[in-house]
Amino acid sequence: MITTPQEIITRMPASVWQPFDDPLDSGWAVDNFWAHWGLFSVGIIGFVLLVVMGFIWFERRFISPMQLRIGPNRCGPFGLLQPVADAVKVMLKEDIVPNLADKVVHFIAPIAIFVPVLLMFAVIPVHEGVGLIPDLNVGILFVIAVGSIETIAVFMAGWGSNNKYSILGAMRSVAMMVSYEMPMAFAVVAVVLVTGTLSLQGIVQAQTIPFALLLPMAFILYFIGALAELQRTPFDLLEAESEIIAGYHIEYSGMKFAMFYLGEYGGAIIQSALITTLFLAGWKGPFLPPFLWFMIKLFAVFGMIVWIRATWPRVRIDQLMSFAWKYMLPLSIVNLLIVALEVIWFEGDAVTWWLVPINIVICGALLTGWATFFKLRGGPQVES
Amino acid sequence: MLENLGTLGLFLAVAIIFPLLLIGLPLILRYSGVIPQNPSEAKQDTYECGMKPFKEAWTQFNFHYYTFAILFVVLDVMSVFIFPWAARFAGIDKGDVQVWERGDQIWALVAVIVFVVILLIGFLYAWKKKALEWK
Repeated sequence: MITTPQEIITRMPASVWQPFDDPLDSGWAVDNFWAHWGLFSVGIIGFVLLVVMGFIWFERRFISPMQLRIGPNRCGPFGLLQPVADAVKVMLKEDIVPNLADKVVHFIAPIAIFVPVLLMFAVIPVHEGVGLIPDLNVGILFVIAVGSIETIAVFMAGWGSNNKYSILGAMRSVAMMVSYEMPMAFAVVAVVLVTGTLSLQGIVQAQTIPFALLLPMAFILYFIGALAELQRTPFDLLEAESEIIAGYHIEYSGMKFAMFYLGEYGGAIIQSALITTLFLAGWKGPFLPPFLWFMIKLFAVFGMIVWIRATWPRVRIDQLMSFAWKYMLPLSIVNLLIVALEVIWFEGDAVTWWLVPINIVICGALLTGWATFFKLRGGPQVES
Repeated sequence: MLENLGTLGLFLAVAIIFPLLLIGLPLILRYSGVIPQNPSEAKQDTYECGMKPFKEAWTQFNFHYYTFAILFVVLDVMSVFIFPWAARFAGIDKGDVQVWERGDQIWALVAVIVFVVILLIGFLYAWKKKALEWK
């Protein structure tokens, strides 16, 4: 008896399931270690730069109709060459270092913000058995550990500039990134509990149901945490233009400023890729080649983030901190307990369609229930 | 496993060299005269919306950041301990370790609940003492 949609798809003839020849399927296993390493090192850097440009173009074109304007449309067809023009412009700017700045820290910060982005890409799976490291067995732990370095880079930029605005922005951003890292880490633990593996490739393989449906609570918590980690609206108060000009990168110009821009959008790619991998079944999907599925999901998640930017206003810092510590952190720990009980109940095989409606109901009840509690006591008091 | 980490180490070198090259490119252009370089007293000053900066920015800061940092360290160490537990909990046979039965799972869950509750008592104490309020 056919029970799940996934089973129906797998029972179709192979020509329906995979009508296109997948160029990554065979002939890509390079035997020579140095050839493999060189190929994928260059590949990762090229991929990051290209997708960053794609994201910048996509964000500007996607957000402009929402704000009732046209967006970039002069450079090339549909303004496609706008990011290239921006890159050339920023490269030809004068490099200004303030006299009072800590010169060494001021120089290292833009490098330190881009290194973790590239490093995390080494373990993101875009296809079965393809990548610089196709299957790192501690993948998700590595990504979380390397991702924390970005906090240090942001603080280095703020501190090294010796500017009051930038140090305010850096202090705020460190407090925020540190607060939202906990609920994110516990949301990831919920995924690890169900799959029983830390490898990102293994997590993708285990998702016969996308975990966005199976673990809606972890998905929502991780998504909000990712927004905060990216310092995007509604959590962009650490570079609030109207309060502290630009936050930590106020004293940077030219190529160094471009590095922060790259790091920011590189972070957006990484978080979109992680949400895709952990909760939307990664490269898996019917009919199309895996890499194409990965890219479609990547841009869909980023589109969601841009849509949120166009919709919501900025939050206050006290609201921000109490939301992380009093709302998301308790919920993520409760979620962990519920998932552990479910794993015991289903004897380790918790990836079943039975759990989807149950978990959605539990998630809704917890979110609304805790929101009521949050409003009544301990939360931010609204002054009337 | 170890060779994977070696590959990562090599890639770390690339990941450091590439941004250095990106920053170095304008330096070359500057000495070949493409990029302007006209430093002046006002231009190299700290930017404070047109005012003359009157002090350094490296001063004392709000104490609240410190309490949040301490709470973060406690919970982060807790998450480090929870990850290996979570990786084994589902009892999926990977061939290298002994698989947990249901009895083992319940025992492991109780152990972790005790561990988490001890830390959460501290967290609730901080909440009660209004350390989580931002003023």
